Amino acid sequence: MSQEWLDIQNFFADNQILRAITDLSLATKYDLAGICDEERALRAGEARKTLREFFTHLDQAFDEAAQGRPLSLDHRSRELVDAIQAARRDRANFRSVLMRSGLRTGAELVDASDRRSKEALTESLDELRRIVSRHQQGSLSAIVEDF
Amino acid sequence: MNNKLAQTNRDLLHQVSVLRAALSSADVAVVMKPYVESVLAMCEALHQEALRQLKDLAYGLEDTIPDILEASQRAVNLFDLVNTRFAPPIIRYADEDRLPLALINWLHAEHAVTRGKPFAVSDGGFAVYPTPDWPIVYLLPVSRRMTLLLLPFLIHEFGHLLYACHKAELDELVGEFQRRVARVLAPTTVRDRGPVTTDDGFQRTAADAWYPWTQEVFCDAVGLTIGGESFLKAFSHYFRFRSSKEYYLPRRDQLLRRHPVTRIRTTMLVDRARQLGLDRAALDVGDTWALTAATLGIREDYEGTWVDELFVPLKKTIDDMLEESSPLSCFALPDNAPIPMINEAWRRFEDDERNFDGWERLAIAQYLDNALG
Repeated sequence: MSQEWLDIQNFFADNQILRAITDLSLATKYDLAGICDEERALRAGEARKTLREFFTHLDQAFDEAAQGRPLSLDHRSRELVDAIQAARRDRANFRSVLMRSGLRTGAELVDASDRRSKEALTESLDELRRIVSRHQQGSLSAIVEDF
Repeated sequence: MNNKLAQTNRDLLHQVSVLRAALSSADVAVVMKPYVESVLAMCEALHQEALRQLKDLAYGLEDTIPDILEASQRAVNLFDLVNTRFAPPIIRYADEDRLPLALINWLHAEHAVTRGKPFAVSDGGFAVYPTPDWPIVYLLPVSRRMTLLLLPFLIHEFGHLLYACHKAELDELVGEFQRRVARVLAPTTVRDRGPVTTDDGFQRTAADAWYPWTQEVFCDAVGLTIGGESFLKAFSHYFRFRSSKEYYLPRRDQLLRRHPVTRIRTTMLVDRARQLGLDRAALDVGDTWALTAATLGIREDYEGTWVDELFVPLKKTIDDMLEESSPLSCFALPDNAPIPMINEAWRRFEDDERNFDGWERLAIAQYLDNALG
């Protein structure tokens, strides 16, 4: 299997997370603005499921790392885990609830129902997106040639 | 910003429409039709995404611009991938693709987890894009598409697809082996201290390297299990004289690679071939590699990334991975299997090289008539 393939695989994995982040973010913002968009609401349901699974997966990876065990992850997946851990320590640039309070709180926020929680959710999703997008750039530049 | 994003999405709609027309008019083998349909479905999804973004922009909400920007970037990047990686196997299709397509069609059909998965072939070094949720592309060099001897490498690539289809279970097994690597490679003083931790530099790097390396050894084992003697011979033939790098690499270079040093792979393959009763071929390959190493003046040295103590645990890990993924056995092949033909090709190539070309051409033509009609 080629390195190129692994980059493509990571590109798809990040894409799935980014899509969930953006779908949930847009649906929440429409909700806050009083716009009724059925397709966006439907997509938000799927996005919540994807993000809950992602947070659970990350939580396990953090636990493994905390115990000092080698992670059963490929190099690029671990880079994402490391990037999220680094962002959580970078209080100056990452201030959302997800980054300050951790993944379990983030997972609860996904089901936000009141206005304040929804605003906290969109802020958290925005920061998470910054990290995942930056991570995806590494795979992307390896598979789509520059000109 | 709103107008520019709308422009980007309208361009995407136009590009998708042009690509769809090209894909729809391409003439490909029947076994590739599901692949064409799945790439067209990707185009349709991108078309819908672009329309969706235009609808989102029409709401005119300022705070959604970063979301729509990300969605647009994602759609454009995905389209680039479809345009550069998934569409070319269709547009460049040639009759010479039929031989690898027939072999892959047989492999996919014989395994429950891969049956019905769309696939295609493209040009490149032997490789595969094996994502279970996306169409599968197998890459192989031009002349190797038209000849038999190295076709068993496609079975190794198929092994990557089996891995992807059983990822959760196989990752567990590989993770266990990685932890063993970290323990075994730790100096005695570190081992005595307790569990090896992520702070223990080299052991951790080596354990990480064994994540993709174990997958490669697994794929070799899949190749041997399905392809039997033909896989072992193809493997040895391809790698034995390529360069001294197949026998020795400095530690730093090893850790940068996706594959372990080829000599380790050969050792594992030869052992497994003996286990399968392929004694003669195993002996021949083992001797050839030992002799070539001696001729090149290379001693067996992996600079700490491999020690003999890992042999049995790795073998056991691969056994467990094979049990989990259940590749077809070369000793229980159905009548339509191409493997006996490839074994015969190796026998003729080794014993009757003068008449090999003519025999190969006829054998391929006959096989394709039966396999693809």
